[in-house]
Amino acid sequence: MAGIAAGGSRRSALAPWLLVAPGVLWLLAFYLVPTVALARTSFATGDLSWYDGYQRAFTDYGQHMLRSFGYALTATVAAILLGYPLAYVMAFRAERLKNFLLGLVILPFFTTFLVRTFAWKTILNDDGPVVNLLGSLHLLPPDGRLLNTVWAVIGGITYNFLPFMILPIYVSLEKIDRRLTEAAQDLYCNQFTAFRKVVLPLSLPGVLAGSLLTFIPASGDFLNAELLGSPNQKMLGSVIQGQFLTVRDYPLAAALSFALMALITLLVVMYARALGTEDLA
Amino acid sequence: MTAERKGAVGSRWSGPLLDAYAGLVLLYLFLPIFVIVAYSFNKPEGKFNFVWKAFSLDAWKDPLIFPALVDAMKLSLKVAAVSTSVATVFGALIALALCRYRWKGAGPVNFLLVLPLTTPEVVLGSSLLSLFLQANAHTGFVTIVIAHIMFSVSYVALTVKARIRGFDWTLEEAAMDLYANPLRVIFKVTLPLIAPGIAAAAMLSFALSLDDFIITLFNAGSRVTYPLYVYGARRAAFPPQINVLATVILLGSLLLLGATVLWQNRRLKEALTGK
Amino acid sequence: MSKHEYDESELEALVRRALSRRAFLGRTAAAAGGLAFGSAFLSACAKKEAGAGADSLAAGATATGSTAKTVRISNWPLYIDKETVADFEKATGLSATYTEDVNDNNEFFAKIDEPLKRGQSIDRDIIVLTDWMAGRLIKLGYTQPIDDKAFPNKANLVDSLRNVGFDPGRVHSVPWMSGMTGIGYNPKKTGREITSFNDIFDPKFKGQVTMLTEMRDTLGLVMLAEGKDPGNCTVDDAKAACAKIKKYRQNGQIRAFTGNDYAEDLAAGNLAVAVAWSGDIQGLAADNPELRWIAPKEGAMLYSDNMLIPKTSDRGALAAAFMNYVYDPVHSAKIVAAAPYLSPVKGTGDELAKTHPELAKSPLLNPPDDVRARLHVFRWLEDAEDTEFNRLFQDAIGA
Repeated sequence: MAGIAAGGSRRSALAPWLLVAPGVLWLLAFYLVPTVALARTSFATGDLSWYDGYQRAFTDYGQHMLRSFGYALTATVAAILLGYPLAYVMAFRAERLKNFLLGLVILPFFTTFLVRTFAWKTILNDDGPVVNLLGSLHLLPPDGRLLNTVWAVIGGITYNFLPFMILPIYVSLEKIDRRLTEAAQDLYCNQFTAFRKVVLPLSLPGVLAGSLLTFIPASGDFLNAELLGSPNQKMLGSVIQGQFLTVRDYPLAAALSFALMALITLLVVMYARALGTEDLA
Repeated sequence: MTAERKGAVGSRWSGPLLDAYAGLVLLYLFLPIFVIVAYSFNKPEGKFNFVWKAFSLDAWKDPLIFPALVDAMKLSLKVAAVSTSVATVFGALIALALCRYRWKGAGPVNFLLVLPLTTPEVVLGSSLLSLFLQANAHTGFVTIVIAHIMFSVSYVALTVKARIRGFDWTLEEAAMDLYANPLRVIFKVTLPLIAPGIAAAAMLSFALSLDDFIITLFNAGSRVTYPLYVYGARRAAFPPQINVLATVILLGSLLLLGATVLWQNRRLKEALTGK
Repeated sequence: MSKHEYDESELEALVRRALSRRAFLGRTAAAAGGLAFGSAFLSACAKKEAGAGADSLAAGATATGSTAKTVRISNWPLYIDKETVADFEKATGLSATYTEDVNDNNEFFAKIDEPLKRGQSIDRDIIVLTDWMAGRLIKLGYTQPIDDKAFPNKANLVDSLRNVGFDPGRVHSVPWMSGMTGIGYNPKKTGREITSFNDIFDPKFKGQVTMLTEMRDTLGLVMLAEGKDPGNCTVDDAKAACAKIKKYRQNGQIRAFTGNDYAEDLAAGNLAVAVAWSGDIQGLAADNPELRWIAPKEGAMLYSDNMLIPKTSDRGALAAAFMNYVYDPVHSAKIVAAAPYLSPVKGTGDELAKTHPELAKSPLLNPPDDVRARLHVFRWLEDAEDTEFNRLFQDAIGA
């Protein structure tokens, strides 16, 4: 990675602190403080031991956790497979259309999630064109359906997080110096090798950012599963929502939330290590 | 879309294939949009808009007959505009600080950025509401904006970071040799180069704000944003006017986008030919 | 959980804030496309008009002189006739703000719990919530008694609803509307008539069946089908019913647990049978006349949505005036014609027969005696029981 601003060491070490101050203070005040206050309720369970909530969280809902991570992971991988090539084309092959495509990618998301998902429900309807097509190709049994299945859920999650994958990859690809790729092509007789050895590594920060922005929220998502899935696809987010609002078992709800957060953070750190970056993102 | 530019990797190899694949992905992104637009021309006899009945312009002739829907849309746009502006500034500054300097605060700040992403929205929303109530604050527009800024900052920072990582800071040094004024350096050198990252992050933040439901639900008090309205109304009915309004927003944004791009390309051409 | 429909195909949200001029000003701007960035500037202008304090961080709501006589109502969507509020204003000279922001009992409660706990205003004078949630609010002390002196029409309340467990003597609440939960089905897809609740478990309908996420409605019906009385049930009854639900959920019989969404699926033909609210099916009758609603022979559930006055409201008399207005059978009939549910006001049936004779004959608006005889109400659950029942139910519907 290119070096630090030379002026940074000469200037006061205060500079980075000042730059992050507004955002960090905001997060501290409106995220950390309230969330920590909530964390206390996960421990304040009256006569039950403090880890009771956590115990129940893992024993009763471990399946939901695995399911949520599984769906989120699948959706992330799908998003990379779909998004990377598009980001690549946008960055390298579309000159004047570059910004237009960028806008196009985000445009569908100015309609609300619910409106988009209802459109998907229409598209994937039992008597709709997609199901009929798949049926005639024998990819679906004759009375099969797409709605209220795991495929619809993963499809929905992938769809709704695709821009979060495309945009970071795009911005990291777009800044790659063309001269590097030219030089690579002079050295490597194979385009693919040039890509593999030059472009891909340089785009990894984008892939990492995109994966984080996809996997993390997708793990906690539950609306896709609720609207497009059957009850057997219920994700952890639904459980948390239900425990908070309906059952009102706050210790359990908080325990589930923090367990989810801890697990995600763990997975993310492992992922970042695997990709070879020093910091989390 | 194929640019035969020197050094564009893949210009000879499976270029068209790549383009086709990318085109398909775009199509996939827009598939529901086509349906949404199409169904704004539907003429449902009942409360919902799921089965195609007949083509009609009725909804378009009376797009504003649900004042609550229009109000909700306006509120959402205002909230998104304000929160995006602030969150983009905060997030870009953080990204800049994280990449430009090697300092010990980087690790904790990175961690703090990722944490809100991992937190379930119901937790974010309800805990923030508790905070507001304890401070005796009245929930409404301001609290919605505060909440939206809160969850957008992380997205912006991470996206801009992806842009700044690997930035060649020696450019700044060189510029400072020429300009000798650090502020001018930032405006003339650094910012333009990371601008695409900031623009992309801003768009992401705007979309996030328009779409947020649960956190807004807790902190909106008696105000109703567009997602709140749609979620609420859909249990009772889903008139085509919702599709009409969505289509109008889309068209408006598309026009704005097209105009911006055209203008940018004209400036670019002028700059190039003017040389 | 909204189970309400209109006859007309319009979603009327009569949101009239004291500053409704803003809507007019904004309309022309909104009609132009690309309002994305222009409205940020609108907000600067509009905010100055927001005198009601909704946009400021000032503690509590500030009631300016012009809004002090406004009664603020929160209700479920499509639960009223579009002219009722205007008629009320004309008749009484008061002003009213009607917002349809109650979509789910639990979600609404989550929003108002904290403020009311601290005695802070929620900007509402009447809120409409289902029995069990109304009971919870009353028990928590979040409501204030209704001023009977301003509410003479209370005498029109039907006898069967005069005394309920959660509010003896109806001090804190009066019903807005009642509804029935039973079975909605599509005879074309089922191929036969449905009379028993257990038909929902018929393997022929595998994957084409839904139940409600509303615990008391679904659980109550399952219990009835097992011969238990939800008005008198025990935790063991609940456990047995939940086990049954879980079994059929896991083997794929039940396609989903829904709020109102079953209506669209029934209409689209994705479903054969659904646990359904009477008003929804009545509302779908225009487009899908083939859909039917029945009260299963083992029994159906009756619920009511009730008007309550939050304890922080300073306009109890105005609220009572509104209640008085809608408890006039003439006005109630008008509401029923628009929102096809059961009116709690005596004499509504006769008034309805004058204005909408066909509608008045519908068994969903005027159930025959044998149906009425098999309507049940879920018993009151204390906090701990409520949590336990809910937990069992949540596990049954999705693990």
